[in-house]
Amino acid sequence: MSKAAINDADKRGRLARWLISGPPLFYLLLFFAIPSLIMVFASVRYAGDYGGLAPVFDEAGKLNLTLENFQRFTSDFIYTAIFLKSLMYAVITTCCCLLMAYPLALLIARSPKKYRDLLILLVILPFWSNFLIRVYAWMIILGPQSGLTQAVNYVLGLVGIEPVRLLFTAFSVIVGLVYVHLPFMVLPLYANLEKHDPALVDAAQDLGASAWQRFWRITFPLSLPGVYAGAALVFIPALGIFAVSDILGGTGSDMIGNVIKQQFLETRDWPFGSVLSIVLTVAALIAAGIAVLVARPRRETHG
Amino acid sequence: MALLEIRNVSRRFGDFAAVDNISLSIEAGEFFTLLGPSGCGKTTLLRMIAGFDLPDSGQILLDGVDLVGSPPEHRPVCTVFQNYALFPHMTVSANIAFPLKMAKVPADQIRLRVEEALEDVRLTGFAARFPHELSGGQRQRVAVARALVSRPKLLLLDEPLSALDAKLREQMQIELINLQKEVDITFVYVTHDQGEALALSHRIAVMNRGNVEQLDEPSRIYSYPRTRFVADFIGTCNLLDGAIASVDGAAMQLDVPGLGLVKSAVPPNAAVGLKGTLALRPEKIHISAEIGTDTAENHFKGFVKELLYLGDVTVYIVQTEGGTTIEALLANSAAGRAKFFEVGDMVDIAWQFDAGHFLYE
Repeated sequence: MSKAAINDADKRGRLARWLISGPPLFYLLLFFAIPSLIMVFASVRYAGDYGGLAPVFDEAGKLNLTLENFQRFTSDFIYTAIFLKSLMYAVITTCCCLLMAYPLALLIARSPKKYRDLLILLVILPFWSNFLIRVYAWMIILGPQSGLTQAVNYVLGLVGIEPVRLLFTAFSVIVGLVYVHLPFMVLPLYANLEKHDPALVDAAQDLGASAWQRFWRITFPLSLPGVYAGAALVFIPALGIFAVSDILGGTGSDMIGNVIKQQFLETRDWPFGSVLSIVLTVAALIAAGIAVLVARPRRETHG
Repeated sequence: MALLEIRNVSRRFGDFAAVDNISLSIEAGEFFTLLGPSGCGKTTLLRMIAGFDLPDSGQILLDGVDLVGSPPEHRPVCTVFQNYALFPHMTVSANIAFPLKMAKVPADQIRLRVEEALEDVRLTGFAARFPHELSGGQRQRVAVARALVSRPKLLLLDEPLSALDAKLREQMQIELINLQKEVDITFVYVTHDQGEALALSHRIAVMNRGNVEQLDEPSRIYSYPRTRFVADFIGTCNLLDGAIASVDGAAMQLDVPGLGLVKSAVPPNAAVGLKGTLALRPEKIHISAEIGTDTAENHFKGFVKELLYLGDVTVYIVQTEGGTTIEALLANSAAGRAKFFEVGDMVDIAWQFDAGHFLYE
């Protein structure tokens, strides 16, 4: 091929790449980057008298911007506290999801090939019905009249402990969060575990590793990319979600998502809502950044 | 007493007998090969020795102790897997250290023994590499080093060279032979490649359909196959079916339909009318343009139907007047010529009466 022809082919390849990646890039720019910038801009403006935003320029024509909203976040500890509590809920949810999803994903990955697709279908089956309806169902399951609550209280009664309430507590919020996010942990874990070469575990056993050592030294380290992906997919949405704590939470179990929603829809303080949103976005980005850093392959020199 | 004794071992999968009542014993220090086509049961037998599969009946004794009932991690037997099964998240040294760590060997000893093992397989300096940074041959050596480092009584090798190209395979064969002598550990080698089996082994068990067809030294397996299957599977072989027409001292006449009377060496218990197969290696057959003045007792005329030029030798497939095709091999060693005959050439093929080996039906 001549040089010119190679250049032509190169150009065509580059054009094809842009044509393919263009639409999603454009979409992200339009619906993620620009709204984020609008949000950042809103965070330094004043709230309007009846909601919305005050004009950028006041009557005298002076620029009407402020950092008050950020000061409010840093000066009033209640918002930091709610934020920290949301973080804790998200961490607990991620850990519970990991502990529950790992055995399940491993079981599916090691079951006969012909059943695997069916089992994965069962994992995502809940997506076929509405998310809110499924969360409302937990209200019934955890409600004071439910068999579960009565059974728990019966057992507690036997050992002389006062009856407890399950619904509208931190417990019910975390149950809901784990329930909603579990498939997002199972899927990346399964995708990773399914690709493992079974000969590796055989080799480890052949070389003297017990069942526990085979898991801990071979299967688990090799599955770490799946663990990080699943953790990010659970942690980030769990941090910002408000519907679950709205429905299943009590007065004390509001999450940062609930507060943001209140700022926009009830208090109608858009600038402060924007500040909280920015904090949430930054936290999510930091979490994703940590996941990427930790997930980078490391050199294990002596096992 | 033999190091490994396999006594009446059977393993079935449904109706299929993968291993059908096999008994054999392997001596300490031996390079022993299980050879056979895929599905012959060689891998199943290997997996039962390693402990990944259990026999339905029979015993596997190592040093007189029955292995059945002890899991793979407790058997003093290590395996080199077909695709090496190196741990991708560990370096070469961590891979080799793995079995020692599992055996709770102290760290300073582990370091020494890993270094030693790396030296054994000529990989010093590669300790910090990851498996994906190694070539196929290097990976194979790491797998061998990892399996040998804990000094097992028995090393099992499951087609360890099948992923390498031909040239490298030959080099690795020589390395394996030398390594086995050096470490003085019994090797049990599984392969479907007869050339590899002949080159490496002290003894070969040729397997077919869950049975051992013949267990012998490589040269005896090649020269004196005991069954039609062995003759056909090991190397190429002309198989001439016929019945004994007459017996005369050390020679007999064999009536081969489509060819005629063939003079051959008398097998034990020969009697007129008995049927069987004459196994005749292509390299034992002379091929020439005219009947020569040699002493070959058997001469047949034919024409070259097909030929395969292989560089060092040419394989001629000759169709005789009776319609039988016979394969003959001729070295292209004469000076100044590339090969001797072309397709369609009339030729004379000849062999001495004791060139073949008669197998009863």
